[in-house]
Order: sequence, then C-alpha cells, then structure tokens
Amino acid sequence: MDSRARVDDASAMTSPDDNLTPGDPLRAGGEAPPPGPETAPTAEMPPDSPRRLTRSRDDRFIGGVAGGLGRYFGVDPILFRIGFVVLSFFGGTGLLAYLVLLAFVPADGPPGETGASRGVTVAGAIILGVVALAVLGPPIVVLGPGLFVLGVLALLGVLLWRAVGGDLGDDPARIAGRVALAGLLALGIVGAALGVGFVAAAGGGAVIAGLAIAAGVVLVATAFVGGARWLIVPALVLVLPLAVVTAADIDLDGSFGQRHYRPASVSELTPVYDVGMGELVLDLRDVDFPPGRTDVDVEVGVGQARVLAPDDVCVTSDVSIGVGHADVLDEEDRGIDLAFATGQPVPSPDSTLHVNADVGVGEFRVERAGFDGFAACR
Amino acid sequence: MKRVDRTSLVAGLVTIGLGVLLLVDQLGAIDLGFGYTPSAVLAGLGAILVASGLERG
Repeated sequence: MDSRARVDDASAMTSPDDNLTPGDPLRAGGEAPPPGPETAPTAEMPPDSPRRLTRSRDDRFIGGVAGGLGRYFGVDPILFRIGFVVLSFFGGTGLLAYLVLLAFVPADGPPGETGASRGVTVAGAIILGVVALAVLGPPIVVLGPGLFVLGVLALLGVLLWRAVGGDLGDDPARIAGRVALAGLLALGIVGAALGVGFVAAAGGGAVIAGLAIAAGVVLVATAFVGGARWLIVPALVLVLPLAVVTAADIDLDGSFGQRHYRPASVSELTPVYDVGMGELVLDLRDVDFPPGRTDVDVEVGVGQARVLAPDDVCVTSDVSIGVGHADVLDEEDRGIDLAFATGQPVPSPDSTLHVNADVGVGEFRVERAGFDGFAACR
Repeated sequence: MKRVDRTSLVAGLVTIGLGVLLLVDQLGAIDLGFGYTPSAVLAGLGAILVASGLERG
C-alpha cells in the first residue's frame, strides 16, 4: 500500500464524507479531488462528527446531488447518476427524486454561501414536483410525452436552481460549459437509448441482447486486469431500452402512420390488421357477419387502434396491452401488463365478432354508434 | 497481479444475466412483462451498488 493510499484510508476513517478514490476512472473528469475540507479532518468537521449528507461542489454535473450521495455512501457517484437516469425511464421518479434532493439537501462548504435563496429554491422544486405529478397523473407514463414533460420540468428546475441558488461566486462561463456538457451527455445517452429501443422494437431485440451479453463478458474479463467501468453505461444503454421494449411487448414490425380499413363483407376481412407505430381504424359497420363467431386480429406496436362494430353483432374480445388503456364498448381498464377480456367465453349462436388485440404501448377501443352493451350476446 | 475490480465483475455478471433473460424472451421461450422486468433490472443495479460499496468500504 503506498503512502497515498494510506492517506486516503485515513481520510476515509476520519472523514467519512469523502470516500472517493483519487484518480478513479468513474470520477467526473477522472481528476483527483482537490485538497480541502472534504479530504481531511478540519476544525469545522471533527473526525468523530456525524456524517452529513451534502451536495458536492467539486464532483458534480448539475447540482452535485449524485456526487454528494456517492461521497456519503462511499460509492462511485456515476452509479447514482445511472440510477437517476434509470429511474427516469421507470415513471420519471429519478428526475423527481433529483429535484427533491436538489431542493432539500444543502451544498457542502461554509454555511451561508447558498442559504439566502434556499427557501425560494425549495418552493420552486416543490411546485415543479406538484406540476409534474399533476401532468403525469396515474398511471405515470413511462415513455412518450410524459418523459418529455419530465425532461422539460427538470431543465426548468435546473435553470431555477441556477437562477436563485448557489454558485454565485463561480465562473459563469464554467457553469454554462458544465451545464451544456451535462445536457449534451444526457441527450446523447437518451438518443442512443431511443435508437436501441427502436432497433429492438423493429425486430433486432435478439441482436441487442447478444451485444449486451458481449458487453457483460468484456466487463467480466477486464475486471481481472483493472476493470473497464466506463463500459457500464453503454451496457445499460443496451439493456434498459431492450427491457422496456420486452416488458411492453412492443413490435414495430409493420407499417407506420395512419391506417383506415373499411371492408364491405366478411370475405374482404384479412386475418390480421397491424400497424407498427401510429393509428389503426378498422371500420366493420358495413360487414354483415354470419351466425357464429368471426375472429379479427389487431396488432399495434405503439399507438391507437379503434374498431367500429356494427350495431347488430355481439362483440367479444381478448386484449393484451403492455402499457396503456383499453375501452371495449365502455368496459375499461388501464395500466401495465393488461390482459383484458370481454363478452361471453362460451360459443354463441348469435353473429359474434371476436377481436384479439395486441398493443405494445397505447390504446385499444371498440365502439359502435347504436351502443347496447353486450345485450346482443346470448 | 492486479486486484479484481469487483464493480466491473458484478456489473458484467448482471449485464450477462439480464442479457440472457431478455434474449430468452426474444426467442419466445418466456414472456416477460412489467411485473418482473423492472424488478430484475433494479435488482441488478442494486447488486452493482452493493459491490461498489463493499469494494470501497
């Protein structure tokens, strides 16, 4: 053990607030922490003082939340950054948590430097959090407009914090550069994740899974020769979108855009009506269904499917939706992993239209003008 | 001989595990839904965090 390591160990024991390893490849910029109150016991922070969670001024991309958490728990801050990004994909809670921590966790350093506008920052963060929850509503949207709204809210939160919060003595150009760099990095990660998700949903899921396994093998192999922690982020960029696509069962293998079908008879029906991403309308009001059951399959990757049924036919359905909403003749359900069945499970002598719907993310509806529920089914 | 980087080791094993799980789903052998997938992903991330914490602790 060299002398530098001994200093670090001593610091970790006497000043638990700093457990970062100098020169750690995961540390932002790969730089060693500057000497100061964080790396050695001081009069203000005696060795036996209780640990205190603070935002880091020295190790941060935006507000130092992840840097502070990493220092407090003694792990790499990038793991918390990854955690925030990951949780943002699962309902946007990562961004909300970051806003809350940004508001309520004080920055390290001498008190008073950033305390003047703290109340305003807290109020702003609370307002943004409430607005985010109100916009998202239950169930919280995982992908799509909800994530975009969260991104905008997070950006507003950062700008608000910058406007009224700390770092008044920092170089504005440096702040702007860091924010721009963090923004570009976040955009790059999100863009890459969206691209991976698109490829996976378009049928390349097995290839993506293979690449993820290969990345894992490289990580394991390099662990014995020093490690390649930088590969963790690319590996997660492969795994996370594929996990979302897999969980939602999104299949973009089909056409894109709006599709409107209006067959005039049963003979014109096709076995499957599908659209990869977009809106599908299947108007069956001109079809004279024969007695017995007629099956129609509807598949949508991401988007909406509407089936317009004749007034005089019994309608039954089996609906599978990864994330979204189903409304079959005013029988509704919403949420994740929906398995929704309506109508009679037993054979009926009536003219029966049975719709098998498979939607990844989106909405499925069955409507008819002269609505009489399932009264036509015996 | 260099010390084993446990964070990279665990992250690699987690990535392999999740990759195999997702590959099996893609091949149609199993059908993962939102009931299991997020839990598996978060458990993997938790394992990486624990490994990193133990390495530094």
